[in-house]
Amino acid sequence: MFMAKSEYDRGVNTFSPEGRLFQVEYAIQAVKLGSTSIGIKTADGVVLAVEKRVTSTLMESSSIEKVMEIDSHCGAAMSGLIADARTLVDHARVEAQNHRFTYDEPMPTTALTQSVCDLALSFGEDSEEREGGGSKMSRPFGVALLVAGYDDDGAQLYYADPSGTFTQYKAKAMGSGGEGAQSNLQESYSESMSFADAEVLALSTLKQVMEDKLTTDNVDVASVTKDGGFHVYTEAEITAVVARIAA
Amino acid sequence: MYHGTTTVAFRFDGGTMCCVDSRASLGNFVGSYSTEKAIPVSRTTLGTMAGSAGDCTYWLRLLSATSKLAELETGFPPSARRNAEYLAGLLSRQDKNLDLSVGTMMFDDATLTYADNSGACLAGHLFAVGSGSPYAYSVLDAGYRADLNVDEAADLAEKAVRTAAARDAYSGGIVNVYFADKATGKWRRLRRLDDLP
Repeated sequence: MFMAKSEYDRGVNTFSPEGRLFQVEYAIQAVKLGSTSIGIKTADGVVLAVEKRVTSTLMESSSIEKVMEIDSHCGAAMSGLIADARTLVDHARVEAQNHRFTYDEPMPTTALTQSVCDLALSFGEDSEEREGGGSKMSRPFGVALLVAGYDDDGAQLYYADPSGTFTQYKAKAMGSGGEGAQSNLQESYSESMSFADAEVLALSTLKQVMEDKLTTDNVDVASVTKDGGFHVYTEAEITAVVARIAA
Repeated sequence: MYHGTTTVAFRFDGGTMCCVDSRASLGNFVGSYSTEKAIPVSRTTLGTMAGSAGDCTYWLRLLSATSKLAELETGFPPSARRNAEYLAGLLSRQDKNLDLSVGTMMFDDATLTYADNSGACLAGHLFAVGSGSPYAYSVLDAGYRADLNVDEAADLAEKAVRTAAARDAYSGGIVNVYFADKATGKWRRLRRLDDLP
């Protein structure tokens, strides 16, 4: 049974001799092609900011949706294949409502992220034994999510990638400008920063790594706070934050 | 638990006014005097419960989950009318041997719909549901006008439930008044009165 080296990147359930799953690694690469997303956690809540690539002046930018509500206390920003993200978010929404119905409480953010990652990892050619039967996905999801929530443990920010791994972050950037943005966050983030400062840091960081000029049309901003829950910013609210960025 | 109830709701120019009692009874045993008989379906839709408390809670909470998913999908919460239609359809497809007992009025600022376990789904401008409803109707029919102001409407709804609570042994407890306001599009509790004899 000899397989040429290049053949190990065909099957999603075949390890290479070095112990790598190439398709999963390629999926992670797909995230790096996607637009930049940033999440910053403070004691009062989480800010999510995402670049929207408006590739044509004829495009209605309001129809691009890159931060989505999962439940009233929780939402997600996405980089990579947005269609794949919709599948994950739809799944998370159902799980969140199921939890509310069963336990009469909002679903903890950790549990929600866990359930997203369970789905993210359930790809494969041989999925008949999977719960619910039938194969939904033959390949890994080409998208990463920043899941923000506010629950009994306070503000939460998780990064979930195509390998089904999820990690909690204080501040995280992903997507094409992710590396540059992350080092900027590394320098400027402090745990004691206010929510208002986090809004400014998120947008100023995004501004630095974006190729186009930052306008209200090409960014999506959302917050998750104790009192306000998940909230997508209006154009006026984005303008107000942009005005606070020191030139 | 509890077949005795008085719940009333009516539409008027300012929105929809609703009043419910809070007695939960099993035969002549009064199990609770502070049951919440108004169950939130969404920010804009409220449902009342009459019939079996367990059945109502279960189905209205299930509806609330479905309603939220629909809101996330479409960007706005479904109207009370839609919610009621969906619930009636769901209930009518259940096994009749389950003997479900659900009688609900579902309303937002612009629609009021009665739905029950038989699959009935009736849009209207004035309903009273539960064992105390005949007494409540007598008060509502005498005092209802579309151009009532909010205070007058709340008084009328409250009086209907108070009258029923006095005449119907299976109604009583705390009186709650809810109002779906046309100005805001949302419902809120206007009154919570714990002064019935």
